[in-house]
Amino acid sequence: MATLKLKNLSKRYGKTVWGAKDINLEVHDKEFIVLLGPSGCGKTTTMRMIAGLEEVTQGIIYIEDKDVTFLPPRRRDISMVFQSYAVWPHLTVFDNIAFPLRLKKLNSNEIEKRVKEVSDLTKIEEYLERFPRQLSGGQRQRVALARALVVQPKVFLMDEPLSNLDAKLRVKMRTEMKAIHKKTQATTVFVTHDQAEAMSMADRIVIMKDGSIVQMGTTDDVYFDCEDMFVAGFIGTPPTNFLTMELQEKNGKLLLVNSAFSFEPLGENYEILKNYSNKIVVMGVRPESMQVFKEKKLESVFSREVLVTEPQGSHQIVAIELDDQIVKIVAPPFPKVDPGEIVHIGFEHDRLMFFNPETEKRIRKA
Amino acid sequence: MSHKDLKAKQTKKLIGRTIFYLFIVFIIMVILLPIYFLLSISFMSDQEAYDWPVPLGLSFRSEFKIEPVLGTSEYLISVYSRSQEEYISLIQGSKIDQMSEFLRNKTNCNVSEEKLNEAIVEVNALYETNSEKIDSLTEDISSLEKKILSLNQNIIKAKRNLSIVEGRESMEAVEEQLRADLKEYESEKQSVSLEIKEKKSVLTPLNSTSFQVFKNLFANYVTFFKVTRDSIPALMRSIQVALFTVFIALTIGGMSGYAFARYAFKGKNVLKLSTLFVRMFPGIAIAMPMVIILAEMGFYDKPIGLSLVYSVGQIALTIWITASIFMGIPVELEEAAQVFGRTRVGAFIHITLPLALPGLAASAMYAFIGSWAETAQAIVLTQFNPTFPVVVYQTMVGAKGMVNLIAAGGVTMALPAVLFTILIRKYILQMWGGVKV
Repeated sequence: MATLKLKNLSKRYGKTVWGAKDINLEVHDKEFIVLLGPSGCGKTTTMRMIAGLEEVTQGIIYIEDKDVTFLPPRRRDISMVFQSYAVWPHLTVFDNIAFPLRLKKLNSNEIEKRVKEVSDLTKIEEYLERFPRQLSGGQRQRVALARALVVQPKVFLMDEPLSNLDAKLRVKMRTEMKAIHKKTQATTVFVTHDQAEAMSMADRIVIMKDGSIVQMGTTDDVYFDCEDMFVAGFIGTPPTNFLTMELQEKNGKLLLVNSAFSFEPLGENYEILKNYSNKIVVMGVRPESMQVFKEKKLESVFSREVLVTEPQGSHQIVAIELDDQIVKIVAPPFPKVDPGEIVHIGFEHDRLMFFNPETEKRIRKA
Repeated sequence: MSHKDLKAKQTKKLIGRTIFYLFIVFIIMVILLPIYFLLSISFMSDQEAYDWPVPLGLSFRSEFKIEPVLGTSEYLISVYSRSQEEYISLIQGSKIDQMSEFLRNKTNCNVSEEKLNEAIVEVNALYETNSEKIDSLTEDISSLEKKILSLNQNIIKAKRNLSIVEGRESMEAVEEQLRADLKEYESEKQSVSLEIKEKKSVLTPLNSTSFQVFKNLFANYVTFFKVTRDSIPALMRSIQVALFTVFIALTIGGMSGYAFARYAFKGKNVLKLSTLFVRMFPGIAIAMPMVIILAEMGFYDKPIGLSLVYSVGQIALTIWITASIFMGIPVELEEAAQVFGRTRVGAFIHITLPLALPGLAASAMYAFIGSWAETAQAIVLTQFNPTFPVVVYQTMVGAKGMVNLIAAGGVTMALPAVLFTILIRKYILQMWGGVKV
């Protein structure tokens, strides 16, 4: 197992279209990295460049400090799980898994031993003699996984491997793959557009947009400490609510004001915003960082009529209308809130995030 | 009401099914009957092929009858005709070796001289023991035959008179009389000829012996190769042409098919369509220019020249077949092979090629059949080294016009194509459950 380092990695299609631009990334030994982003953001392009299936326009790829930028895929000591599994239909499951080992000219006992090991790990030992067409989607996915595991590569690449499975199986495979990673300790790069998948599996998440990395960090980092409005809006269901606020200074006090309410930023928030008086900022509030009260309380900032509620069992989502904008709040399941009811709403002030409306970047303490 | 509905439905279903089966039968008749006809004619002897109506069933032996001709030292040999259901005379003669050869050519039966001699000895013995009976019977028969002759004359006379008298007034009585006469003559003739038949059937076992000889089924094929000008070299040339064409079409067509399937480039669709453009010219139309071009290349009248011409059309077809096959094979399969240790070419050879085999086999079959049976261009593009279809064609238009020989040539021409298809059928049918992943 080893490290992977990307330096200014770029890919240009045609003359002007950049599939990926200046990707700088360092993947540590045994780390599980997830590339996350909407479709067309360049995550698959990046992965294919790491695999050697896509030519690199600029930049360098290091695997364990060795420059592999121009090596063919088979010389890079990597393995890959494809979105479509890419299990060879004319070979049995055993032959599929043994394929890379045979090319390495291992003797047949060794091959058998290693195939058995990985098929135990991926729970396909009963299907070794079958052809892929006789397997279900989930089983084929396991075969692809076993084939990737059996070579014991330095870097393990997975290109949306779970996206072709049905929802229930996907959740199950997610747990299993995490367990397998824990056992094999393989350095892994995992591409997905499913944030739930990314958050539950990753050691670190790399969020990409338009061919560049926007933010990278642990699940908590990208969730609670978003770098910009794109990340805040992309991560989390329901996504972050964005409220446009004006900072006004009155009697030496800072006030965040919008058409419905105003409140005074205190403590940390004051430190962040003190240089922005008389300017417009965007306030990002996570749905669960808002509180819903049935009675007016000290913490509540404003009152509003409930538009709709979405009961979810473990919690309920309360939607209100604010400045022609739907704001969603995640509230505890009880007490039940009914549409049309007037509720009082407060914020967890230390969870608020402020963004510059022009650059969409986070406003941090000076 | 519902009962009525049900009945109507059933009737409808019955009609539908009837039409369906009629259609199936029609298809079978249209496709299988001509093939069967061709096959059975190719196994027929000369005598059988011209024995109208030609019996369609295959026969494996012929029945011969030999009898001495009275007053000479010659013998008459007859063969049983299946369509007329009686013996018909074939040859009369005294030279055993000539007769044997004649029979072999005419009936495809190897009637050896010993066999003929044996039969002659037998029939002579028979003749001697029954000579009296035979004499009396033949006398009877000849007198009966004379009777028929005179009856025939009477009948003709009566008919002529009748045609004169008919329709005239005041001649009704004469006409009546003539009609009655005619009827009488005819009934008499019938009874006499019946008598002759009876006598003959008594006579036959007394003055003749019959014997059966197995037919040489493949005699026509042997004859075909003997009589046609260098047909075996022509066959070899044809196979050469077909295999060359398959090779050229598959390598060039297959590679371009792969390129069309895998790469995006400018003018791809136009180029792909334009490959079909060459197929729009009838082969015979471009044959003359081709003669000049091939002659300049030094390929005129050579198998390789012919296969070059055939390849042009076949490449287009192969491109279309293989492009769609390669498109059906996900590129990820190749990429996976590259990741797991194959080179690009290795991935193509070990992953894509086995998966594309059915399509390649199908286009190989098309190319083989298309170039194997092509006649029109081959006639123009060859001179001293014709291909097999040309030889068959020449036999057909030749002065001999022996139907059974042509049929034998036709079947021989069909055989390699059928064989080739049977050989590669495994690959055509070989589907890995559809190349789905």
